[in-house]
Amino acid sequence: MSNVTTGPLAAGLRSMLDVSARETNSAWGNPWVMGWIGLILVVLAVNATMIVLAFVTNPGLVNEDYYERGRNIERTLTTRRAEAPGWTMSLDTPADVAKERATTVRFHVVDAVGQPVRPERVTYYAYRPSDPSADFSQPMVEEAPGRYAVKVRFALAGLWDTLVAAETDGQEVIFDQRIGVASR
Amino acid sequence: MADHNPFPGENNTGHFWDDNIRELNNPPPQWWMIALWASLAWFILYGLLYPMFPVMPWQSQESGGFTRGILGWSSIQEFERGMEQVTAVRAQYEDRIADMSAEEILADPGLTQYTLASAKVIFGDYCAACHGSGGQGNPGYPVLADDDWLYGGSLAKITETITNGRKGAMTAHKDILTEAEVDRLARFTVELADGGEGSEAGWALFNEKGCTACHGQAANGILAELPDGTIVTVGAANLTDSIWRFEPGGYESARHTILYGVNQPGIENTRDAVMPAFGDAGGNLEGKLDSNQIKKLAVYVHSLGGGQ
Repeated sequence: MSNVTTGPLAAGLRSMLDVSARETNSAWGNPWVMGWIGLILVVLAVNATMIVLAFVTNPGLVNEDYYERGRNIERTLTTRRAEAPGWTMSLDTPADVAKERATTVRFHVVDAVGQPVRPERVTYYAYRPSDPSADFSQPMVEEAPGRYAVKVRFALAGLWDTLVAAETDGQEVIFDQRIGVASR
Repeated sequence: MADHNPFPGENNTGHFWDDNIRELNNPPPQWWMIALWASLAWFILYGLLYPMFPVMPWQSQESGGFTRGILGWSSIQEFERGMEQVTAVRAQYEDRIADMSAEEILADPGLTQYTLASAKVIFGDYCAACHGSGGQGNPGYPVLADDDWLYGGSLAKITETITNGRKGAMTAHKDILTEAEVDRLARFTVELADGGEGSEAGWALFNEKGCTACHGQAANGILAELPDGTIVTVGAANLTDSIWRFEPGGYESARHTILYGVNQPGIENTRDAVMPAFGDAGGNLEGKLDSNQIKKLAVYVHSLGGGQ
């Protein structure tokens, strides 16, 4: 136990507490210096925490090939327009949708001549623009040909980007709608 | 340790440190003791009065798996009492509605407000799936919030529609008309829908092929107008406005309807356009509405924007 009283740490502590140490011109004995160093350490710690949080909670929404996608936007849009099956779709979110309240959302889809379409899979996605941890998706259930429903519950009030993806033969057709969810 | 007590008669525990630091044996403050006993008394009293202890937890609540309390209170009873109160408050309106016609309800602003609020829930449960949560319609399902009606937008007609349902019919013309005739008629309907007058040849074909029998002489879906203003239709679409019964509308859509018809049994690709009947005056059938609910719905649909 002798090193507790004779080790370098103990020496530092003694010099800090000892008034006579100040007379030896050691800056470590000055409470102002210690205070400033402490402040800097706090700022650095906060920065480090923020940087770690930024990495850990990164939603990863950025595409790997964003530059190429940006350059090809015109071709992508043209392709999408050419491949679009000419469906007419509607997404019906009740006007009184509120947070934490079960709401039935319905999706209607007919083809180019107005006959109901029956995609293999219809999925409802809800994106929270500011908080990806609140995002969710649920499969929609067919109520009648061309009519799909799902009961959803939005965890937060405010803006949501909702999107329905109808999948047939590996091709995905997307319909989106931005909605506002009331706080109660 | 306590062999020699330097502070005799002080009510200390006999534990000393550093000569004079010692543990005293003071009672807790009086307010604290009062609170302790009061909470204990509250606990016992509450346990006696209200359901509390699970005596046989493996038993269901109904078989008495817990102490019931002297007062016999239960949350479900409180809920039921609340519901009775709500029913009592509603009764004054419901009784009046039962004795009134839909027209009379509409003439009373207070009662109309009550009816609209009440019918909104029924509409959400029974109508919104097809006609949209606000009556805005959906592809393949008519809009209820505009003044374009297939069977008429009067209260009587709306009531009739809800009660008995509707099933329009249009013959499939794929084996009746030639490809060229179908093409010309489809173009003709697009001309009319775009606000045009319609070509002479188009009108001639329209009349010749008997389209007027259902769509009317003026192609507006009206067969006759009675002296009292009642409009006679068979549910055929008005071809002279820009509203399409089957979205997205346009040439291809019109052509499809002419070729395969509406609700034609045995015809593949025929339009499916059926509104189920919701009437159930006896109140015996599940999923059906009683006459009061239909009356409320008629007022609601009439008030969506297109009531006549």
